[in-house]
Amino acid sequence: MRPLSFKLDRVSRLALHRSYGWTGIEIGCHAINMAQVRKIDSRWQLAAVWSVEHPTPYAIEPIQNVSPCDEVFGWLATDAMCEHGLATTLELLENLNSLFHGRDCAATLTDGMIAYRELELPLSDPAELRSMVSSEIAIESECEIEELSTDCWELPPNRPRAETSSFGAVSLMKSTALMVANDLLNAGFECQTLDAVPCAMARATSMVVDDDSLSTLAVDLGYHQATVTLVRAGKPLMSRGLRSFGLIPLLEQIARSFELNMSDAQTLLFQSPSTHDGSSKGHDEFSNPREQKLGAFLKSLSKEIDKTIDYTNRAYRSMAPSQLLLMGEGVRIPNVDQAIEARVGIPTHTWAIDLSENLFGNQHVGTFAVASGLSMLAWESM
Amino acid sequence: MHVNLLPTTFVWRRRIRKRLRQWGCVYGIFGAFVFAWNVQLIGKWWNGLHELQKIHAAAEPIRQLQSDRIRLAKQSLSLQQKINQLQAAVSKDRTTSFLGVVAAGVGSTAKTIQIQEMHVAVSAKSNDSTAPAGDSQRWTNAKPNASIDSKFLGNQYILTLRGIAIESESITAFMESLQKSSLFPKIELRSTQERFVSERPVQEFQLECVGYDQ
Repeated sequence: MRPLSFKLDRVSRLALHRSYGWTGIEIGCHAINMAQVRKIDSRWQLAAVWSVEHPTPYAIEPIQNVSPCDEVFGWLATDAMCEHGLATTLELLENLNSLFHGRDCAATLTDGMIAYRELELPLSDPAELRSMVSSEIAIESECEIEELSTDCWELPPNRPRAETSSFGAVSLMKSTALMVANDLLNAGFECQTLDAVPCAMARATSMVVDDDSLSTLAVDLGYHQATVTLVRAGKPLMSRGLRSFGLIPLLEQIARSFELNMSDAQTLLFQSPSTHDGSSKGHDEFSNPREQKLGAFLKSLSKEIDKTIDYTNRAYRSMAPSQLLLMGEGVRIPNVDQAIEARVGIPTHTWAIDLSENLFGNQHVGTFAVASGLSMLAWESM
Repeated sequence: MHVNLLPTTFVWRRRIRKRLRQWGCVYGIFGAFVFAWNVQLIGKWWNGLHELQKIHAAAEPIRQLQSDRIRLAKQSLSLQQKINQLQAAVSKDRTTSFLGVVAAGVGSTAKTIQIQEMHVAVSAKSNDSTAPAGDSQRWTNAKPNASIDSKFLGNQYILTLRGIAIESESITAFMESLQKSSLFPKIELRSTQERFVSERPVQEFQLECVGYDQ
């Protein structure tokens, strides 16, 4: 017989959160993206979104010897953000309680703050497996096991004969996880799950790809890195973090070319080409430094995506991706999906679902894909 | 599928807090039900109290009547005792009047009759047919126990006369004289016997006359 509390959980979820998911909170170095999805019949709808940029570092307190930060842009280094800026930004979320339904939330840290690696481990029971994963990661990262918070999931076998199995493992410093959860609690959000980006990307992909037999390569274009995840039937089969393909290196190049600060460089990058220059596209690619830098960035990124597709074709023959799905801050670059599709050669789309009637239509919905994937956890955990 | 990087200690703290909140909610709802139930009970009790007060007010005239009835019964008993006392007093005088009637009767027979013994017994007259008449002792005892529902209808006097007459016609004349007085509705000649007084024959007789209070 199941305990009464279990039934109460179920009743409260059915009664209170039948149509609304948790609040998904994606914590990045530049901003915190929040989203809440709603399920109407079997259709997904983005019910509420919000984005909070980190306060400028000089406005918080004078920090000595914290070099990797831009005065008006935000934190350029993840460690510095966690140590000095995150708690202050999370305090700002306290005013957003009324925007979202319920207190429950799921969060994740992007920009490579949660380390991902694939491990080959012998098959064993889940407890022993977790212990092995923790030990492996502790050895690799030269930390004590007690200092780390780890979890893993099984990947499809790419070497059928081997007596081991592949696992996607994620890790985070326990102190950072506790700090995030406690700060969210102080802001009025009860963190139920601290998820990993590949899992959230996989769920976000399953929201727009109905066919479980199709493999999709989801690409999250973040500030510090691009995360490429092969998704099938809502599960992450393989993930790569492309550290040199974040938006910050591109923004730095544009900023240097035009002698701008990072914020203005971002405005220039996200601006539609037709609004600032009426000349032809072909001419732009040679004369405009923005187009030059962006073209070079997309070319390199496409190469990495090609490499990933080649690897998946070799490793998982039956799971080769049939389409690309772009998400993250990078989708704000105009026509990025067309540019990548032209280079990679497979259909490329930007992540998008229906908007609630109380949201404006010109939102860059793809920015909130990971947060939406986190919000969806409400149904998965029922 | 998902992973959870939250430390176990935080997860357990959160679960405990959630359970406490849920149980707090359950007990809160239960407490609210109990409170509502108690309020309902108090309301019923209060309404019942009001109804009782109404009934109490409505029964006031009945209580007043009962009180009056008891008071009147006491007065009635007191009056009855006085009546009995008066009747007892009057009974002695009645004996005197009997004596007068008897004397008048004797006179009507030209002194051909002589009353040798006269006895008067007084008893309470009742409609209870089983009650024995002429029991003075019973009347005396019944007096203190008389209740307001007593069937007392006055006193019954039984006058017993024993005497001698020179001839039978004298006895008849005497009885007619007593009957004329209308004091005795019932006159019965119990016995006659011939005897000799100074060698002269006389009729010894015994009469029983029954009379009542008017």
